[in-house]
Amino acid sequence: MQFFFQKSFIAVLKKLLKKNSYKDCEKAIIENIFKLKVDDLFAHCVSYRLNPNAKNPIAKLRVGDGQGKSSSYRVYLIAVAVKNKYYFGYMYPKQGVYGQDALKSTEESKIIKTLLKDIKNEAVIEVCLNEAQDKICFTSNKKEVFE
Amino acid sequence: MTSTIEKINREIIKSYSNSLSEEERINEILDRINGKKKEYSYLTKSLNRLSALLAKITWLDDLSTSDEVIISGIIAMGKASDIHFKRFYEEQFKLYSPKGLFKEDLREMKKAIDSHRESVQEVEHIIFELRKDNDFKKLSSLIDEL
Repeated sequence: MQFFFQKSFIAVLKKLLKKNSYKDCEKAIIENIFKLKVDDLFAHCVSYRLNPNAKNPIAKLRVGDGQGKSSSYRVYLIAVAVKNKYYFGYMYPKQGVYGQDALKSTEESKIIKTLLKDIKNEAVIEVCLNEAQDKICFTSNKKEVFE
Repeated sequence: MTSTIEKINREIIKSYSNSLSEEERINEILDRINGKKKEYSYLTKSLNRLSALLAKITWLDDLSTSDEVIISGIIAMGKASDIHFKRFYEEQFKLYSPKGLFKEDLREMKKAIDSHRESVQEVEHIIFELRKDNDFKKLSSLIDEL
């Protein structure tokens, strides 16, 4: 499996990680997405498929904090799967300081449109886990994305 | 005339009886706490399972009009149940939170209730709004061409 982030996705996640209530958001994404070493990732986490009867699913994934944490949040990620490649285009939290309402159809279409454009222009960035499997790195230089 | 030994005997019996009933009372309280914990845990697990099942609806292909009618029913059921879940949580929170009881259990239950509500809303939005949107339909075809 290969993972790709849109630049705007990285920016949003960086912003979230600065806040205490979302500080383990990267960890949650690693545990709930990156560590699922299965071909059909979407079938193994709480995910909704947006497009019906699709060859390449557009999915909304829900990632939450672990049990027993004092902080409580859920973030939603929008991703497109093309064969074994997963492209992540947007994320938003439901609770906390940056918590927001569910997206409207027009907003979702806009997000997917920009993601599609970036995929076509190869403007997405490939990422992977570091050796210790606890940080997300750029595949190209192995530097941590959220250091 | 009551002898000293009889008096002591009575005192001892009384004390033992008291301590036994005290122990019974403690056991009863512990049983009730465990019962409540089990009840909360069952509801939390059921809600999380429901959320996952609701999400699965969006992965079904070729939904017909009659399927959509069934989904509408599921959504209506989900919304009605959410009102009950919220009310139950609020009642339990009001009862036990001031005493500092079941803090963690109630927090997990609240998370599960919120997740369930979001799942119901997501399914409704995806099936009945997003997928009917022409812009989105065009985009979906373009994504499939990748």
